[in-house]
Amino acid sequence: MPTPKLRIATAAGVALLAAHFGITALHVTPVNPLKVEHERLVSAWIGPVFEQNWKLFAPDPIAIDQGLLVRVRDAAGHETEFVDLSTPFLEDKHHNLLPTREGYQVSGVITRFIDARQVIVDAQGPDSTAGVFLSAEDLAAAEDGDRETYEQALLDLRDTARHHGADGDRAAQVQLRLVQHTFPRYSDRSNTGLGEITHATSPWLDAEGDLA
Amino acid sequence: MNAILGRLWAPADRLVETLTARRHGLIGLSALRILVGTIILVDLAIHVPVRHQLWGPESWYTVEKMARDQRLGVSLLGLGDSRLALELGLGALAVAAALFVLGWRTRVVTPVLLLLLWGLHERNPYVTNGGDNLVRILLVYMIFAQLDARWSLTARLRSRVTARAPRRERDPWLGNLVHNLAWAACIAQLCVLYLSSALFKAQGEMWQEGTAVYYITRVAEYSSWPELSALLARSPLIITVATYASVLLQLAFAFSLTSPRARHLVFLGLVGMHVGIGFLMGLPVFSAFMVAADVLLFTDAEWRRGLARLAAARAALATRHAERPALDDPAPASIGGPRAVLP
Repeated sequence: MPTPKLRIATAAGVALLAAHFGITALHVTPVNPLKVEHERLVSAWIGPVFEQNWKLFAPDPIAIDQGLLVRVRDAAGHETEFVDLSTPFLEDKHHNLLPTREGYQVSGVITRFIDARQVIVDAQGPDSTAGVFLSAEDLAAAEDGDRETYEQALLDLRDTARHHGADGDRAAQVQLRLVQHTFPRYSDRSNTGLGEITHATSPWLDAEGDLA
Repeated sequence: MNAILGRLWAPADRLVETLTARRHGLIGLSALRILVGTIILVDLAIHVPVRHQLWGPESWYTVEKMARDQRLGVSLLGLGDSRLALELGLGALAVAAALFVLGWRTRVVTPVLLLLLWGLHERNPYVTNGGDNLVRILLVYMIFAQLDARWSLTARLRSRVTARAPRRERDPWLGNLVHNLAWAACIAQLCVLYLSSALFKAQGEMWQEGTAVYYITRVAEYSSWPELSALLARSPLIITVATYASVLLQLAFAFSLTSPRARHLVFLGLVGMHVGIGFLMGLPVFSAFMVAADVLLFTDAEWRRGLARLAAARAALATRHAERPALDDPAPASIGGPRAVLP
């Protein structure tokens, strides 16, 4: 027969675990009323240590190819051609059993930018006509937090592009081009060729510092 | 009245007994320790050629950006922001991971490994993924568990000291309790992971319609072997089964724990899924971490049975080799003689 000391200690330990995982469960689930109500408790308890998200290829798995190109303009006004930043990394992963994570330095930044943009576009409603790169009007109408996130994401996009492209050091201005390739959908899967390709080009951005 | 209370108390007392009288999951945790440490070392080795680009001062993701983004705002690898700091940091991480694999003083090495690894993640979160997230959290729980019961330097030392009376605590119940809670936490963490992953998938149209795996394997970034992906995509059976199985296996994980057969089936299914992901999608380290965590699904008794079978098979193979006549022996003695009977 366990002593009271053991019983109490076990009960306390199990209670702690139950509380911890109850809050963890709230942290990882999709949005629900309970989660919204206890938002502050959850983020305080979870802290940076237990931060986690298991949205692995879900709800919508990535279903289009996205690439980044960049060209630069130096102080004298000479412009380079658009340089493809994504393809070299894709080729690295090709037929590679143990690839490095280097490519995510570009693709991850693209994803973050697209996500930041999507938040603002979603807020605009279903008939939004915003381009891939948001206009000044789009940004003015957006919430402060969302706008900051978007501007940071665009800044990072510019910086990674400048770093991974050629002639980044001499650049005074940088122009980004995001290419999206919607490969054939499942119903058309026998088509192993290319699908629809669209691209969007940013305005010329200052190579250094905060965006104007 | 006493009889009723006795009935209510009995299962609770059994729980207290099982959590304080002995330690569970010792072999699984030792296996997890070795796997995690090894994968970290392999991951480091893969990235040695590109370490400056990812974590060094030349990285586009500067220390300023790191300070801007991270809630921790500091990383041992970001300190000093120099090549030297990077080499020292990575070297320390490698040493910690190696000691972790060897099972040397895990009580000390585990938190050190956690801090160094977390520091590496913080230095450039763009190159981290779900596997890193899981390992960081598991390491936190593993600090409180006994990781060196098997295949460790400490275990070796322990077996040599059997003659001398071991320096045991008078009452091992507290150590047992803490260890068991830590082990339970690791398993609970996996349940949370798989359940929420399945819930998110269930919300997605492509997952519901059984086409998600087609899109995932066709995206250029995750198409390491596009010919194979194309081959798989030709079969609606494979695509649908792979898509639905991913969701159902993950959903089943938490609920399969009580039945050994269900647990083993889920384990096999998940390992298959992870191997597919690791190979076809160019995510070997991520998959390796997930498979490593899944070995916690086996109880110590199951581990012992499995290891015993392995040992028996190896012994049988060794006997077979010993009895085989030497090739240059003109008059082999065992022709027509007794052979080892293999199970």
